[in-house]
Amino acid sequence: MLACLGGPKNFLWRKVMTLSRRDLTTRLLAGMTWPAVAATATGLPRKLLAATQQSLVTGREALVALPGKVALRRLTERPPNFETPLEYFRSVLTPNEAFFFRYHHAVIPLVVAEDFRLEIGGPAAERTPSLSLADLRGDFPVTEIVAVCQCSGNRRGLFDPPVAGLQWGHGAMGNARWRGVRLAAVLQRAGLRPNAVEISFDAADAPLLEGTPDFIKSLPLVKALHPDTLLAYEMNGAPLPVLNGFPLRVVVPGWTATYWLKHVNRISALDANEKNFWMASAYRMPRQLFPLIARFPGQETVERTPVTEIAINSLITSIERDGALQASRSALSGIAWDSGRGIDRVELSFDRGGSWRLCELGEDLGPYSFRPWRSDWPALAAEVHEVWVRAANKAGQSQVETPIPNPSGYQHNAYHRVKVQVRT
Amino acid sequence: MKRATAAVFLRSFLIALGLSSIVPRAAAEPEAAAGEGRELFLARCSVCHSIDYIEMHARFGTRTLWKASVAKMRNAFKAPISDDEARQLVDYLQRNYGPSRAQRTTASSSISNTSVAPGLTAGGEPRSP
Repeated sequence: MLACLGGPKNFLWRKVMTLSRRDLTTRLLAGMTWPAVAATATGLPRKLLAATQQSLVTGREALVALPGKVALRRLTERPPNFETPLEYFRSVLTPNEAFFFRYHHAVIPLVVAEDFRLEIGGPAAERTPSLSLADLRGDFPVTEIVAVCQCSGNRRGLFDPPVAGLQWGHGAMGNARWRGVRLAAVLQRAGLRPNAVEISFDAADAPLLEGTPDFIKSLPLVKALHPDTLLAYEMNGAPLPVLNGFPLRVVVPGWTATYWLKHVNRISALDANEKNFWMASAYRMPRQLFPLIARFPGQETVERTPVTEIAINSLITSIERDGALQASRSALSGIAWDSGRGIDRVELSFDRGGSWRLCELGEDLGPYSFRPWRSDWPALAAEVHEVWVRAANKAGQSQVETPIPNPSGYQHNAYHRVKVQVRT
Repeated sequence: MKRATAAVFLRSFLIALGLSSIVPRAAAEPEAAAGEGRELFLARCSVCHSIDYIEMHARFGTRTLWKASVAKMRNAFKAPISDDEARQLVDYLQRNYGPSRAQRTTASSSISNTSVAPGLTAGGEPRSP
């Protein structure tokens, strides 16, 4: 366990920081945001709409930059849990430097790429291959996919009444172009026995106490073998940042981030369901509370189901750093996403749900990606308004007006609402 | 023995991370509230996690919540806390991190779904890195 720590030889931070600065510039120049749209038809030229929204302040949050990262909202220092400020979601792809991270354990591995091995085995594996990063890059077809990585508890801090757990705002998520190899191809190297039921993942991070359950998660065979499920070594054209799982992480498009193990170094084919704390107790919610399509039958009980797919959701992102919405400079815009069924429509309401206006959908980077949307401002009287946004997908799933209460505060997908004061 | 192991782990972790250069705020990692129970808190809780885990719950930190939290740390995460220590810790948390205290010490005591840009607009200027 301590082998991954070591001394200065293993000190990767400077290297990572150098890479990140260069890549950030590249990505910022790439221009992944909406082109500026003049608000000619809004009826509100040059008038400022000042938002009067409340901010999420629950403790001692601060904007703090760790190496390789821009300043992010720090929820906790150790283990580190940092969320992405809303302004970064104006890009369809979230810059690596601004991508959120969530750790259960405080021991974060500084893996040396040349020393890395991925061990594959388990009771339902025919063979036990050990792969280097070079093996992974060279022996398997390269695959890319754009997918949202979103914490199951994203927006937990917005539940009312409050729910214990990390008090996330809107930023425990990000969208990236993941590059790596198909998990199915790697599992084929090991060979699955007919009695395989789940694939489990362990990683190089570790708890501080011996007794604390190591973070191990499993997937049902059907999801593990899905052609979109990857082992990724790059995101957005660069090696994974340390805090996002260098050198390898699991990418499970459509499912919440609890399954996307960072620093993954051991994969096991299981002949029985994984029963550790993180599967049997954590990341669970009452069954039939949410209209989920993707299920994990082997882990369901009479009363509870593991969190599986990402609930359909949307966000208004054309909000200035000081919280104002400007009609004069840009259209109203944002993003919508779901578990890969495909966004069908995004709608805005300016009268607290009385009527809804259809938005234009933007660039489609694939079913698991953020889908940008935009709308012109309507003519609004000089008073306080609320702007609401909601999305629906091609499978008929849609957002809810108020979040569905559940004991651990998962799957918050209520309409995003922004108060605006229209001034004359 | 477990505590000694934890201390070794923690130290290795900090050394490996090169604490001073990569965790800019770590020197000022928020401190636990003063008073009876603080030493026990540092010994049993801070060894694994920073105090901000506690602070973020203060706005709804009832005795019930703190009892459940300490029980979870003992039962699920195997924190080496005795029954007597658990009672002392719950007392300390309730005394220092309850809703009434939270209202006095934080800029905001309510949250709504109209919240956006967390950390950017209220509670004063965001701290620069």
